[in-house]
Amino acid sequence: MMEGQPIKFRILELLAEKPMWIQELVNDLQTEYHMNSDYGKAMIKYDVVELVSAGMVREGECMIDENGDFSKDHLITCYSITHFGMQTLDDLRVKVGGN
Amino acid sequence: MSDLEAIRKIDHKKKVRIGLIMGLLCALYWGLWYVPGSAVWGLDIMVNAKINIAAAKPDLDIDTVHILACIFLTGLNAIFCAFVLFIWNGALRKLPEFRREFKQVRGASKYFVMAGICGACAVLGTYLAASFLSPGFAAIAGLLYPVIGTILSVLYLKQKVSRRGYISILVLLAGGITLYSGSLITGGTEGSLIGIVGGIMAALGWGLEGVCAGKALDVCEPDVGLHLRFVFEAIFWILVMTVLACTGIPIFDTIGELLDPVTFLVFILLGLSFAWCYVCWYKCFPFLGVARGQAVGSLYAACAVIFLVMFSGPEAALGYDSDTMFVIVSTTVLGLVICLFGSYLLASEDTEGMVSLRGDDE
Repeated sequence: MMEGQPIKFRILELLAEKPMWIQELVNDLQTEYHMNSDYGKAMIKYDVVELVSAGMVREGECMIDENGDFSKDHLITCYSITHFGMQTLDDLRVKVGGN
Repeated sequence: MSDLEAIRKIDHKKKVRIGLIMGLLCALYWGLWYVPGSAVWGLDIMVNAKINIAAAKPDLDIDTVHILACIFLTGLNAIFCAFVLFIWNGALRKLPEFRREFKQVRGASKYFVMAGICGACAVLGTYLAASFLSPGFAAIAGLLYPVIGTILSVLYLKQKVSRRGYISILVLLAGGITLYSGSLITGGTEGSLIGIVGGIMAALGWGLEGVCAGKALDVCEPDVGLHLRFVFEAIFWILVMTVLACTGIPIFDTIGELLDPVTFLVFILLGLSFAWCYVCWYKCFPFLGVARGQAVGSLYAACAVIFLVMFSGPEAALGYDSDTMFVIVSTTVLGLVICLFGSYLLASEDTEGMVSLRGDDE
């Protein structure tokens, strides 16, 4: 439903399906939003960090990226949606559906 | 595991450092904005705009002519901010996201239209306060916006405010009254009532803008959201100025002066400083939390007073003469200190805000 909508709408929708590691989330979104560059990857990560600070997404397990799946030797995190994020997503679904 | 903890700590420290830099840059840009914002009145584009309006409508009094010139300036300010952000978002490759959010009326752009109109009221109020009283007064009057923001968040967003929150609001109000008392004690200059109304418009407008934009900014890209807010403000002012032009007020007559390199540079500086202060402000929130971000950002008033005193001299910056110097300087400085303390109280409340701005709901 949120395909082609503002990117944070889509991030919430993906995380509502299941918790995701940052590299999985970024991989999905890079293809969908044509952001296939390191810069695009960093932009998507920043969007997720913003959603964490807004209280819609929470940080879960984290580990050091030894395989270089996302950024070698840096911290990678698993993200999940919060109750507030779910409420916001439901509200957005109504708004997007009504367009 | 210890490695992981160490990396986590470094990561967190890095985020806080970036947040602080962004917050400080916001305060610097915001404070700096008042310098071109007051210098612009000496340029031909503004001087001639007032002369043209007065010549075309001789029945208008001087204050009305000045208010019309303020509308012209506020409109140009919004247009230049929108222009600067087009370059900014173009360079950041965020124009596709701009298109997506623009098209998403109910979920995004509707709120930015409202924020743009409230912001228009705030910026016009600032220009009125700056030109009818002093730029220093305008800068500090804007510090009262958390009062409006907090009242509205209780009434409209149904948020709870702690005792400390209410105490900070009382402190901010005391600071505001101290600031305004200077102009009231000295009897003020001609038109100072309009300046005071301008100060109230600035606080009211920014408080309302925060509430409107806050509804959508959580789920939108801040760079793009702010850009939309300025685009809608620019459209609003273009419509207002077109209506004024249709009534025979020659509001667009001096627009050609923008081709003068010095004038263009001053307006670009206006756009750059104002647009970037907003961008840095919203960029510091994810790293510091809204409360801490606002605390650092509130330093703008101090920056503005310092920059204005440096560039325009204390007399022009604070708007006093030899008779009123003591009262105006003391009430302005005291008002500034009390308001900064009030902002600090309000901001330092959220001690858990380093990761999430809202309580976790696990």
